[in-house]
Amino acid sequence: MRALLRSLVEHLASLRLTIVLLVLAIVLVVIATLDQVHLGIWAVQAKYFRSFVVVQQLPGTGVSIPFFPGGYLVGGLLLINLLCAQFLRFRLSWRNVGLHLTHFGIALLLVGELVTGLLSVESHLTLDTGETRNYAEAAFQRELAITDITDPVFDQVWSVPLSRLERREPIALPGCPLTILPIQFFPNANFFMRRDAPNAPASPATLGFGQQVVVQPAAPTYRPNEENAPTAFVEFRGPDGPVGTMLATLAIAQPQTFTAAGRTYAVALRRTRIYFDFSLSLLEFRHDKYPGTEIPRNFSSRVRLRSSDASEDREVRIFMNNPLRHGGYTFYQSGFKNDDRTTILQVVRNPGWLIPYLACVLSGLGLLYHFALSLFAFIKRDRAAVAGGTVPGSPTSPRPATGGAR
Amino acid sequence: MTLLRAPRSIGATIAALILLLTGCREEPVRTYRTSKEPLPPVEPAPAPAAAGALPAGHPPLGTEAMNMPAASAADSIIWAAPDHWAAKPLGAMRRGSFTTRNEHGEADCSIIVLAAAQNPLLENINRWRGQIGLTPISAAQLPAESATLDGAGLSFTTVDLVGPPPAGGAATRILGAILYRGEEAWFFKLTGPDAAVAAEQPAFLDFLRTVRPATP
Repeated sequence: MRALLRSLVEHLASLRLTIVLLVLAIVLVVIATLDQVHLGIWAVQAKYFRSFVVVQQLPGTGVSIPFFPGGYLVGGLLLINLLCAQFLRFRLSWRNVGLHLTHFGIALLLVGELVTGLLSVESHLTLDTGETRNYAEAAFQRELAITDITDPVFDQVWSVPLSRLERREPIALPGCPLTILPIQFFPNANFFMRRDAPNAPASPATLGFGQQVVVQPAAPTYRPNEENAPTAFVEFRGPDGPVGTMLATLAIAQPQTFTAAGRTYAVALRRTRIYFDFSLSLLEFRHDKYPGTEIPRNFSSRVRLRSSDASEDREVRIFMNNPLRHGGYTFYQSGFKNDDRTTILQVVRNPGWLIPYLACVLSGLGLLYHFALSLFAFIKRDRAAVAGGTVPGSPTSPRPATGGAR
Repeated sequence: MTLLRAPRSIGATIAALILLLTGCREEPVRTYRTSKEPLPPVEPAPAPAAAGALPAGHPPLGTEAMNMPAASAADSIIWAAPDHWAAKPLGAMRRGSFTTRNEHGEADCSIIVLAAAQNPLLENINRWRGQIGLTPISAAQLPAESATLDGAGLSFTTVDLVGPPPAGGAATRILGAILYRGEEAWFFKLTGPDAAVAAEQPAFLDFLRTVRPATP
């Protein structure tokens, strides 16, 4: 067992493994770059770099197979390779402290990327002047939200990820008498009013606006300035059987309601919401320009932050390079619209945001120490040579001691 | 190559790791409880409440907001329809629906809200043009084919479209206004026979000027 473990560590510390992994990383970057034409930058990041294994669907079939190691696997093995090599080959001495620090910094950089990829969440908070919200909307994730709005005080929400709708299997809602059966799912779609397309086939919808709308499936778009309109027909089943089928789509913002088992539910397909235990209200958005020109000088949002337990109530000004950090979230001034009456804040939750800074400092200190050590050794040798009456590097100067040993 | 001579158990471990990492992972249904929407709005400059002040959310006295019939409580804008317009039952998509009749015929006014991101201006104007038999226009033609109307703190893009008259019939006209507000795109459309819509144009423009945010 011990021999097996040692063999494993030696293989993992191998320089050949380093080279194989670096080659795999290069190939991964190349094929991901080529596929970016089809998928766009965000989907490529998720498929190739923020995955352990790249999975590809076989053309013409619904079968997906793993075909290449993903960024997490290559990066993770590189990290293990680095750590194993470090512990097997480098001896702990003052001379090697700089190298240890540098390698530890690089390892920390790899860990930081893993933490960011796995745990960071990016979202947006859009606020009109005077509006208050206690949630942000995810940049890329979408959800089918079923909200029990019966209670006058609170709403109970069930958030169904779209990957579950794609599978078209019954979905139970925990603690809810309803079950959802996805009938159809389209990653993107266009819409027509039924009166404008009188020959269109009948709609599967029996509830809500879906009865008056014709859905035309569309190819997903990956252009950065366009957004897909994921669309689904879902059947709701209560304890007494089917309640009805509804069209849910990101293209139509208004939630639709229906009643089942004595409760009223609102249904909407929307950007996945991330709720805070505090709220933000936009008091004022400013779009300052240089006097006499239309050149923007500054964008800023004056917001009021209130915690849900009323322990905090204060005003904050968010502007470029001066984000608000609160509750583990960072709010950056990201954009504006609606004739300067609406602000868009980018909301980032990244528990590992400090790791890259720490990694760079450690690597920098390590390199500084190592180079300083080499420099001092060189100066010392230089002085010794001068004191001995020889000029270092000249044809007459003695060779280093190691040379004489051969 | 040393790596390829690794014991079988190492290969098996790596294969198992890959299978584990690519195995089926079903995303769970999340459930949570939230406060009722929308959350109470704030005033940009909060002032101490005067004696006898109206409760929060109460429409101001002496304005048409008192008998605002139109949008549901969830809508972010409100409006006041002209007195001679008759409200119609709301369809599944309509947030407001009216009909008006004059000596030239009957015109229909619809108010619809859709997601702004999926409903660009030009595409929707061309959709309206297609409905009355007009050819689409390009982005370069848009400024000449549309106008801007500033209402009660809101800015609309308006179009006045008249289709080709069918054989023996009257041309159809659309007076349309599009308002982008936050993530919503609001569509106000008055449609009907050319002369009937033309007679209602002043009322329609006055109607647009009453549209304003539901929360001040």
